[in-house]
Amino acid sequence: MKIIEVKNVSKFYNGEGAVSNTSFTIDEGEFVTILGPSGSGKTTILRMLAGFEMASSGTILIDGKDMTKIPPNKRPVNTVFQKYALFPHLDVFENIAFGLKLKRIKVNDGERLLSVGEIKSKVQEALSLVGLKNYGDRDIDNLSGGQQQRVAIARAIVNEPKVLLLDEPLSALDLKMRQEMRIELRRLHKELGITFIFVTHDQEEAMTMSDRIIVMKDGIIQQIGTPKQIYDEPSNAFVADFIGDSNIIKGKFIKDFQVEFLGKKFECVDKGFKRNEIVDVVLRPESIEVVKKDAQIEAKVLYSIFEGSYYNITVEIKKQKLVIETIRRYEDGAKIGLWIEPDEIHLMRSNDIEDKEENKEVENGEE
Amino acid sequence: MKNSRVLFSVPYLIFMAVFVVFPLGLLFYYAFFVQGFSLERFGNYFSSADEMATLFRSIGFAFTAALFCILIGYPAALILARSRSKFVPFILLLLTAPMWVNGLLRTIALGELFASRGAFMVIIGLTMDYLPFMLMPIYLVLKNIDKAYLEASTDLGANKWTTFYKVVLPLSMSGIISGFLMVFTPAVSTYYLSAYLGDNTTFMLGEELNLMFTKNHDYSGGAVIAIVLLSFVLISFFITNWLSKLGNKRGGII
Amino acid sequence: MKKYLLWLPVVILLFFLYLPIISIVIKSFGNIESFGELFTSKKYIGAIANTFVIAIVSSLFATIIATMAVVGITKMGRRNKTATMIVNQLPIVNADIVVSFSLVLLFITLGIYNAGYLKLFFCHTLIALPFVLLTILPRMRQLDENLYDAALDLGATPFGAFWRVIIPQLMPAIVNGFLLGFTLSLDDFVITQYNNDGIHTISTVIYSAIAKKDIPNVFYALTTIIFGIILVGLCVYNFMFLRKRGKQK
Repeated sequence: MKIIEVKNVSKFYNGEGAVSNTSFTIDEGEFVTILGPSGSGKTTILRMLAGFEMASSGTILIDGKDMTKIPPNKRPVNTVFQKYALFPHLDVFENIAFGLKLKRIKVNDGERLLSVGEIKSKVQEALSLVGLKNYGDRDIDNLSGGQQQRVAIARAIVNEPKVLLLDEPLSALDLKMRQEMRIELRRLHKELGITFIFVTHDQEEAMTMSDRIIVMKDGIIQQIGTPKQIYDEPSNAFVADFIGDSNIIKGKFIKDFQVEFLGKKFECVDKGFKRNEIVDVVLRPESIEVVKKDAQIEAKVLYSIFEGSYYNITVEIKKQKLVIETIRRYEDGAKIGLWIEPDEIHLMRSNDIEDKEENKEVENGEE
Repeated sequence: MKNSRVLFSVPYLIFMAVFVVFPLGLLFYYAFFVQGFSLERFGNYFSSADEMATLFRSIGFAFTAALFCILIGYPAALILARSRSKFVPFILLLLTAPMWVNGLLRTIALGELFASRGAFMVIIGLTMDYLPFMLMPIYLVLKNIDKAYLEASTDLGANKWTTFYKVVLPLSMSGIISGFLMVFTPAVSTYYLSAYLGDNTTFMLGEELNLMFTKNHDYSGGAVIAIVLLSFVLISFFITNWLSKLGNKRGGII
Repeated sequence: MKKYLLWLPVVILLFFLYLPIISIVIKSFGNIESFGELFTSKKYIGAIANTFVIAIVSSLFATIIATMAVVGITKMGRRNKTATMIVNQLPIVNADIVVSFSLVLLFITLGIYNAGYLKLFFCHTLIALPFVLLTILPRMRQLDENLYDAALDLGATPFGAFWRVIIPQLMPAIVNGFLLGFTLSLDDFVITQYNNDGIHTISTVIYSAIAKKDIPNVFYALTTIIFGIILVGLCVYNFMFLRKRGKQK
């Protein structure tokens, strides 16, 4: 059941495209993250879904209805703002009750407002849900960042929206709080059963929380998929680089299941590229093994960084630098042998112009 | 070495001590010490029907003028704060420009334009004189309201009017109060304006003080009135404090 | 169309504010000789000269004292700083009558009579000083608090540090402060009236005319000139500084 349908939506500011011709759908109950660096258009899309920005072109359907031009107060969505935007002149209870006091529910052949008792019980329910049970009469400025966060969430969900939009809500919190809140948000999502759309630039957050991720760059969707899909099979160099650490080097596709890079031929699990096509080879740091014998290639250690549970070492092979995760420490200057499993080698079409030129020549039968 | 820097403020401190602190002390002295400490002058003041009439009349005029300033100034400030036109700074300058023209000349100008004299003219004159003082604080507060609050309000279902009434107005209260005090305090002590634009029913505190000084050479009497005017300042200071503490608690001010 | 209708309250407001002034300006053009009279009659020239001289000198003095004060205040302990700021606010929040009156008492107590220029000099310095301080102080607060110490560390004397390091950084605020003080002094009436010992400034000349309920046309001319200067100043300011910012967000 599609709850959100975005069709060919673009947003222009003074002729510059913040979002270009984006389309995607979201199913009811999903937890979707829109992920990208600043300027990627992710916040713009969220704001267009909320109604704070109007799309320059395209349609936005929410729960099957065309909401492209509908103002925010008439949409069945609620937003958790980046800096919370809790009303400073109202206490916690009044903040959460704000939307409820404006709600009209259908009765028989008319509408009515919620009664004082109904509002009270809903607010208290929301407070319990976010773990702030007796905080109703607290002042906003007496709350910690994490508590304000929860009030902001409570204020949004108490209105029972079909979709909850979250605009980088965790960016103002310290690391520990952030980790706690990630778990909290997943739990809330499960309990409420509504659709969550989450915007962030933190790829770790996206990976740990989402059912699906939409990766964006410069206003264009780069890839949509589950966290595993995106991690294992990034569709281009940007996604590969943005998600997790990776080494991306140039290689040449020899034939099905064989690719050449760093001066050696490796067995791999990809096929379908053209003979001798220049490709991007993605190697995750944790998938390159250090071996004592039967090494595929030899590398020289440049330096190591201790990361707590592992070392991040940078090695050099034929003037190419690679980053590898190892359990052991290796001396600077040491020579080590490396081995890469075939299914850890991931090939992607190259987007570089020069490679495309070369590949064209390959297509035309030249070598 | 650190101390050397503080010494730079010595000339200023000496100047303020001589020309502000000491004279203020003299004021209190003249008001409270006739022969030895005595509240006699104050007693006389508060029991004199005439003087009380002048006091309340002054309060009344100043209050009315401040009220008019709010009624006229708030909508204007709202429009300007919301507008994205590049002319807004210029219009603000235009609105505050009359302040730079000599106050006496402005009063004369008003008096020449309308021949009538009396309470109404005094209030109009006060309103016109001090309107910029109301407009600016309100404008500044409105401008500083984080856009996110307005967005949150519409996100939660409020239309433009509700957002104004429930979010913008309460959050701009501090500006209204600030503006009110900035109008009321000088207005209540006005002197040539009420003399020129008023008639013999509009005798105000400022005129009374002037009378005490120039005609009667009654320095004690003058000091008493000066202290009364001074206490308006103190009262408004406490009101501001009290209201800002109140505003932080639930419900806002409305 | 609706958008322009929204501006109606503002337009009406501007209309009311300017109505008296504009009508005076119009009247003054009906009597061109009065402009000349303004500059030839001894009475007026003297007053104008007095006004400007007093304004410039006292504002200058106030600016100097305030600039020095700002350097010291920013290094004061919290209580002293608060106390100083309260004292600074006193002449600002008090009605000018109250301030004038207190100054009168001061001069009587000190036994200073018939010293118009001297008294006015000090009075006008007092008029300007608190405002100049409030203009320069924020700018001082914005500066790196180590600048002064850095200068001393490199061998400067306190005064040298002040002159060569602090003042150049504060310059824009200092200029603004001076102009503000100057304008306030020009505009003052009550304080001058009470303490002038017969010396005339523009304000007192005007007042003595009102007191006699006789408004000579010269004042219309004066209003026009003052207003003209302000208007020109505003336009210059607007086109030079505000246009740079472009459309407001």
